[in-house]
Amino acid sequence: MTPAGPRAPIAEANRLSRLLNISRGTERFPVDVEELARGYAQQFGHNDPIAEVIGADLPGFEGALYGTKKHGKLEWALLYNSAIETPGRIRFTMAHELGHYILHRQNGNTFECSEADLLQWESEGKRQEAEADVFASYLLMPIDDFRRSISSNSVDLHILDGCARRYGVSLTAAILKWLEFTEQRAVLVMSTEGYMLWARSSQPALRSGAYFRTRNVPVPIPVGSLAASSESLIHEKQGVELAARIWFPQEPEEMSLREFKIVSDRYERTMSLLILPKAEPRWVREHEDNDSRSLDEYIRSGYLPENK
Amino acid sequence: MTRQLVSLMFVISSYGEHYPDMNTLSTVSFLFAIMVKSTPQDDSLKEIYVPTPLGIKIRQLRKEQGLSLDQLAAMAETSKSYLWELENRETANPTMDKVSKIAEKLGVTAEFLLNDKQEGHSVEDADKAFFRKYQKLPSPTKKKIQDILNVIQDRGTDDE
Repeated sequence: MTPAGPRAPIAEANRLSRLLNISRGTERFPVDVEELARGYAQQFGHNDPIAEVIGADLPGFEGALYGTKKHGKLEWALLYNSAIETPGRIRFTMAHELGHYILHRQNGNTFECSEADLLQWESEGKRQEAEADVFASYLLMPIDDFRRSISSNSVDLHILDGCARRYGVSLTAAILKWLEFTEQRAVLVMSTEGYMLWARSSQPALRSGAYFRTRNVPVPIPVGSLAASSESLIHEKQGVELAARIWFPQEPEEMSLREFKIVSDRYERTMSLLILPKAEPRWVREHEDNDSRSLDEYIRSGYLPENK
Repeated sequence: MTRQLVSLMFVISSYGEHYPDMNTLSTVSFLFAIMVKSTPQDDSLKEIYVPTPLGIKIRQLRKEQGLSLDQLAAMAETSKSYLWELENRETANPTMDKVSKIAEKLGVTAEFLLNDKQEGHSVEDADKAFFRKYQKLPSPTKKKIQDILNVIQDRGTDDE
């Protein structure tokens, strides 16, 4: 049985990763999702296998998992659009469908075709979609391996691009995964025509106030940023050094950040990766500005340095 | 519906020739469950980026006429960010007044911009809820998916 709860997608993905680690060793990436899908039922003793994995040219379509009952025996087929240009997206789609198979196939028949259930169905559907995404991202990019791949301290777009290739996923997917665990302050911003479509911050960035609320009001790309410059640099994987205040007005004046930019002309999207140095604790600056007392002295004296 | 035979779980694309359209599966009579998603995490997370048919049309017409956001906003006497919202956000709140003005400047009627009816087969009301997103898929794609499902279904029967 599939474990329930929000950890289930991660637990299931990790279980498969451990198996693959044992059977394939470290040179097992990118994950061969098709093989995994075909072998899963046998491996884990289920009697309703994914019997077919079918790719077809299906414009506008991404993927589907469906089951057929053949004289009482349930079998599943994974259908995907093989005409999508980027193999990373196909792999992600297949992993997502495998996630549905592992996590949700038992729930499949709880849905009734009635208008009344629609709202509930939609929210349940959304939750399952999110779970399938989480499953896919952990299966394709196990965090322990990801950590090892970027042992170097100065992560840049080159390194993350290397990870995307290693795992056979899109650069966006790799960066989003990295943002989940990095200790660095980093923010990924996707924009089109001067406004943010969405943004995602790493935990340290979030805690230091380096984030954008993009849901409600359109947030413009700040003037002076690389993203706002009209220079037709297609790739800026080296990045440029900028005053952090250009993006984040609350950052200290002397704080700088590195901005990386990738432009997709075709979709008119600009992807910006912002990497900031560690947040400077306010007391350090007080300390430097005013006197030479150590933090320890502040604490012992019960004298709390004030925020500027 | 009698015994349901098939269930479907869906992923939908956001990038593509067409703008991210929410979409999904089939009118084939043997399916019983479909799960739809707007945008795979791969591309755009849950901070959902879902333009409306209205947004897609405005953007398309604007591009065809070589207008920038700034230009069309100025022509239609609206703000650039409002126009951007109309084009890019599901949550945009179009007012008739503004849409009429934008339509006028783009040389179409407001009705054309706002009408998002899909051509398509008539399906039972109960199915409509499930299939309305599927119906937004291009017809040839729908047909192909049905064909594939039919083939698999037949194959299963022949096998035994």
